[in-house]
Amino acid sequence: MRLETLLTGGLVVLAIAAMAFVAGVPRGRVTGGRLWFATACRLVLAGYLGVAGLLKLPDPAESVRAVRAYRILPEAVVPTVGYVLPLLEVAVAVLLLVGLTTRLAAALTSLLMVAFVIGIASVAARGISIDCGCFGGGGDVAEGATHYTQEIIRDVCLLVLALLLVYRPSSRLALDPTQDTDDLDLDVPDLDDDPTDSATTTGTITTQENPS
Amino acid sequence: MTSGKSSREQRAAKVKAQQAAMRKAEARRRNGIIAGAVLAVLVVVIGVAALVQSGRNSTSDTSATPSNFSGPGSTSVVLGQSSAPVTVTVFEDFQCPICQQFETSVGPTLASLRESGKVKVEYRSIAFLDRMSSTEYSTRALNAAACVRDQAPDAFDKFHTALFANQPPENSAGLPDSKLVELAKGAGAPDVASCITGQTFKDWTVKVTDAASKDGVNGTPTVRVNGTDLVNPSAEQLTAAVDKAAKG
Repeated sequence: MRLETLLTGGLVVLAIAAMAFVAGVPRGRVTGGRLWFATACRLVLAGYLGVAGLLKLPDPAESVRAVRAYRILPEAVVPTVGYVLPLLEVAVAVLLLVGLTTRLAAALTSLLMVAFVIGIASVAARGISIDCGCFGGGGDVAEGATHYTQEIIRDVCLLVLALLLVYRPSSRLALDPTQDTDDLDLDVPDLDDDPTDSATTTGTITTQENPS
Repeated sequence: MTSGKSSREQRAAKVKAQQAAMRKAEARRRNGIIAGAVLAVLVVVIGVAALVQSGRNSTSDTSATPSNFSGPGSTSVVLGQSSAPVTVTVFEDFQCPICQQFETSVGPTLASLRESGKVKVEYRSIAFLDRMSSTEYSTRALNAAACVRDQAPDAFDKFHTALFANQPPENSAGLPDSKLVELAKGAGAPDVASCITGQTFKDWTVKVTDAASKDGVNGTPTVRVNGTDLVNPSAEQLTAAVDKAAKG
């Protein structure tokens, strides 16, 4: 429990930093710091999703029961969701870990986090006491033994990191070939925009214009 | 002159911009193809793996079912007079500490209600706490209870009590099979050793656990009086609920 609080605290700091990056770094300025920060986001998301998925894989029956305990989905789809969810988490974690199709992986992560937040908020609102089953386990717990607030804060922070990667997927140590084409090209349309560069251009024109 | 030069530069800039746009379009197209391919692989891999997972979770239709169990799917042991007006259903896991507390605090009351003919007790033991031991004790204990009920129906009551009295702590290795055999002997079931060590009814334990989950049981102990849930009841709450159900 103490470790979880510590990890969630770290996540909050990271999420705030992510929002600062989006708000504070001017568009078009691609700094190495931002690329490394995106790498950190990728790895943190991969870590959470990977651990969450791998802990659920050994016991598919438990995973199904954990989904059922939310009392949201109809019984017809509960087993499918129970089987697929851990696999999706692991698959997305692998993509994020190696940095392949980062934007797609981050978008899937965002969808997962939105679903998790809705699920947890829903059981909290209905007064049901369950273990979220986020890292295996699941099912009813005693009243007052829930950690809904912390779980929602954690998932919202992960959502923020994922959205940052949807917005700017380029990062260091990634397989993606997008690094120099995707948002570098989008953000820095041409070198002519550079003030120092245009100054020299104007200079040349001036000297050429003088004789005529 | 000036206009010629500037138009030349404009043309150069235009070409440059066109090239940049083409590069961008090309990169977009390539990214789109990669994303599509990854998505397709993802769907196939997850689909196949999900089938594997559901296969691991399914049990064969020919799996052994213990005799002397009641209800659809042979899920329950019913103790007490069949004419009793009230049915108390108890969902328990032999590894569940709160169930042990329930047995200690409410068990005697439940037994006397049963003996007085007021209630019949429907025990639906399940096994969902295998992660609480290193040896899947939850499943092994439930299998042992099924073995006992199968071969010596009258010994179930005592064995059930003995399992909770000897409940191993959480996150331990659980009781060894030899101890389960010994407890079964003590309860009056002398010939269950091979059934216990061979886990004859393991598939059945998966089925009854799944059935309980589908019946809305998300934790243990879940106690139902004529179908109505009581959340971790005290002896007084249980008695009151039974009296109410007997009148209604």
